[in-house]
Amino acid sequence: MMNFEVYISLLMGTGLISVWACFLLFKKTGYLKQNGLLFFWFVSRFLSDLICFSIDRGLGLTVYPVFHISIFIEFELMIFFYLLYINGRWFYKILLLSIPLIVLIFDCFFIASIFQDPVLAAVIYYLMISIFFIHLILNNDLIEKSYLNLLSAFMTYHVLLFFYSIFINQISSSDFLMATVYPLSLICIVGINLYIFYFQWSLTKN
Amino acid sequence: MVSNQELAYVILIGMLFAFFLCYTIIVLSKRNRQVQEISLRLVQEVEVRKDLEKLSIIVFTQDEERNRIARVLHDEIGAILSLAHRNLSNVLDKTDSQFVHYTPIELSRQYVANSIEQLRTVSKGLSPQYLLKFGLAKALKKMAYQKTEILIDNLEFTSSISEDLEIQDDIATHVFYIVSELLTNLIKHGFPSKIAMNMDSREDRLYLKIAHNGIALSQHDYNILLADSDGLGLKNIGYRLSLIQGDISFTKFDSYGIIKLDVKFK
Repeated sequence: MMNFEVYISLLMGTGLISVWACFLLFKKTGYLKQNGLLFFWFVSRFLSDLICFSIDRGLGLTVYPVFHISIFIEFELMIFFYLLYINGRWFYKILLLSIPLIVLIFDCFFIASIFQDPVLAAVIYYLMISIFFIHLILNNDLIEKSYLNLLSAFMTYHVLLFFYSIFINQISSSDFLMATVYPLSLICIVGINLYIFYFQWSLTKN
Repeated sequence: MVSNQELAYVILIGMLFAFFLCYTIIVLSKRNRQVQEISLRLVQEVEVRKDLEKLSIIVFTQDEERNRIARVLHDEIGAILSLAHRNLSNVLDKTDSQFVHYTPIELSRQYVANSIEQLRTVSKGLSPQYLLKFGLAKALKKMAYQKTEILIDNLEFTSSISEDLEIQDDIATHVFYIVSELLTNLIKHGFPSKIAMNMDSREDRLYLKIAHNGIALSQHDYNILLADSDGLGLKNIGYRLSLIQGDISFTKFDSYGIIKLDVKFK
């Protein structure tokens, strides 16, 4: 069994690598919109992990508000990413972009509170982004050939974590599940962090 | 109530299932993309083939029409003019040079003689009858000497192809016009003083090499000119080459250039 320090080291280490890789990608490929969004997505994830770790260990405060904000930002960025490939009407785009805000408000004020685990937000986020990516992959003529593998990796990541997020309450309340199931979600996160590094390397090499 | 162990199994199996689902979607999606790309390529190939067929019909019809016009000019109008020239010559032979209408008749005879000469030139240009009568090598040699006669210092034409070699008429005509166009362009834009032409054949292929000391084109230059030029000459070369599935290559050296033509003649 891995201990907490190993988890954190893996999260932070690969998170930092992913941010660096995205920055290189963003810089080397002519500041494409896709790469900019990916960069901010990885940065927001890395910062939220860092802030959560600092608040939890340094101040002993609850980290759930950070989770809420982090999921909201990631959700918005992923919808922006999806909309780059979709030629929809502005009304449809605004409706999609407002979903994360509606989910945040519902989760914080009606379903649970800002000081509770954002289960609803996480489930909706992973579900919707999985559907969006599946849509993109199935209509893959919309995607540049070089980005097809990246989008496939993102789709797999979100689908797997959607399944994980459904049971997040049960997992976080059980030591047994934390020890057996949580490493799988960690593998997904570490996997996507390392994949973006590989993607950046292969794209700039070619 | 589900135990933690059972729940762990459910989550693990669920995640595994989700992973394979994603894998299947990705594989199917990539296959779909490959199928789309292949279909697109096939459609493009069919379009190119259709274009080539159209082009073949156009060039064939054009050549047929040129031959017909050349025949009419040579056999009918040429014959009439020859008769007129002969009659005028007869009249002049029997007429005293002091006769008052002698000069206009002499002038008319010269005009008719000039017309016959020009008619022959036009007729030859329209249809390379010489090519069909004496073969590609001799026709090319004659055409090359005619084109470069006073414009360059030295033309050398060598051919190692057998006189018995049978080259299809349509291929020989296309090669003749391609080489004619190449020489015209070379003299017009390359300003060479020396040209060496060599013809050779191996198995079912015909090779023609034109070496010159003028301003040379590289293959890259030729490809750009072919794509961008509005002129008919290069387009004509490209069309005729595609019809006979021939290849042309341009090599540029410091002080000279080489043009190579490679054609399947059977």
